[in-house]
Amino acid sequence: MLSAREGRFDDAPPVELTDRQRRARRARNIAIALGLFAMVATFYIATITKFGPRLMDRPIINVNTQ
Amino acid sequence: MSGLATATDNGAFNSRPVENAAVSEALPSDFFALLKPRVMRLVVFTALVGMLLAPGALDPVLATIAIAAIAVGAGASGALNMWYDADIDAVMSRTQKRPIPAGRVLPSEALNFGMVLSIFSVLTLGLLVNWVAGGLLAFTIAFYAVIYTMWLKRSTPQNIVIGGAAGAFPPMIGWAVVTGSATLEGIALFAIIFIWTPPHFWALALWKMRDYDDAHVPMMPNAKGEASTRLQMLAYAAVLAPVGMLPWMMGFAGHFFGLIAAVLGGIFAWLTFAVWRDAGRDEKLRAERRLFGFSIFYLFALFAVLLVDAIAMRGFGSYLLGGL
Repeated sequence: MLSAREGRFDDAPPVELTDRQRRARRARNIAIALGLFAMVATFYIATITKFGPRLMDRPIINVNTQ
Repeated sequence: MSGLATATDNGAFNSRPVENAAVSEALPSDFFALLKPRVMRLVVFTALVGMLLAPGALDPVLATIAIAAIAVGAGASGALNMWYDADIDAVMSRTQKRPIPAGRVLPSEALNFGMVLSIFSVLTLGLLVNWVAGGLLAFTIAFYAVIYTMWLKRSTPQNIVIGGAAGAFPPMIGWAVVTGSATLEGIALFAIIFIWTPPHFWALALWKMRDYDDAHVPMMPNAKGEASTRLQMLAYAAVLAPVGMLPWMMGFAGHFFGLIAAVLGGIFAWLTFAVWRDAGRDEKLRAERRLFGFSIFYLFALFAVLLVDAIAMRGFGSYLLGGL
């Protein structure tokens, strides 16, 4: 096998995963995606919650500039 | 089997399946097992009780997020513990089937998993709730992973006594989630789990002595002997009975809780006395097993009654509305 130090890394042989490894990787990918989505949703919902009703209580146009 | 591919005479590569341990076959369920779900359940429950007991109110959404962050943080410390203790776990019958010794998860995966979850759980709790709770969660994870797992566990028979503090912090964190501070009431809840841990764990250690011996872990029964361990368990049980009633004594739980805590503490002390009394009489160690089983029930029951008492004291409806 060629090493990266020889500058021929592109020629490295392809890795063929077994079915079991492929299935496990896919399941892990889905779990990570769900985890990230949960994280984003958590911060989104928490932000809305912390703002509370004040979020809607603001003038669309700043009256001082008119 | 190792090796990724072989070059043929014409220079082309024939790829072949990789079956060595460097490629993970871990499933999400294996990573979930790293979180020690059963321990997590107790952590979530005690933290929830701490939150509901604390004066003041918290938005239900933020309260749910806080509980999730505490659960993930506790799970992360479990993953770090399993990463560091994989060598010990491989020797002990109780832990041989854990994901790392069983070969389902690579140690590096467990370390990364634990570190990422630790950081995210602390940041989430700190940023979204408050930094006292976030700081306490960070301290708890560090205490369990570094002070207990890496240092105390392999060096002193007092490992579980001092290390037990890690398991005692969750109700205090729950209290801090609502109040933003660590008060005497939170410390009282901490004290209950802290004093409960040694007799609970040593009951298990007494019938798993050989396991700990094989793994060279200096648990109290191996290091100081069975007689000394049983005597110390009795002392802890005697202290636990009044400590379990502290919420009532300090006035943040009602008489109903005080009564139940006294009864549960009495049964705990009696079962521990049986462990001391029956030393050497029963090869099956039934008294130790009975105490271990009851100790889990004791903590769940005590905190469940505390929860019911808290809800009854503040009124379920007004609590929920107060948070909105």
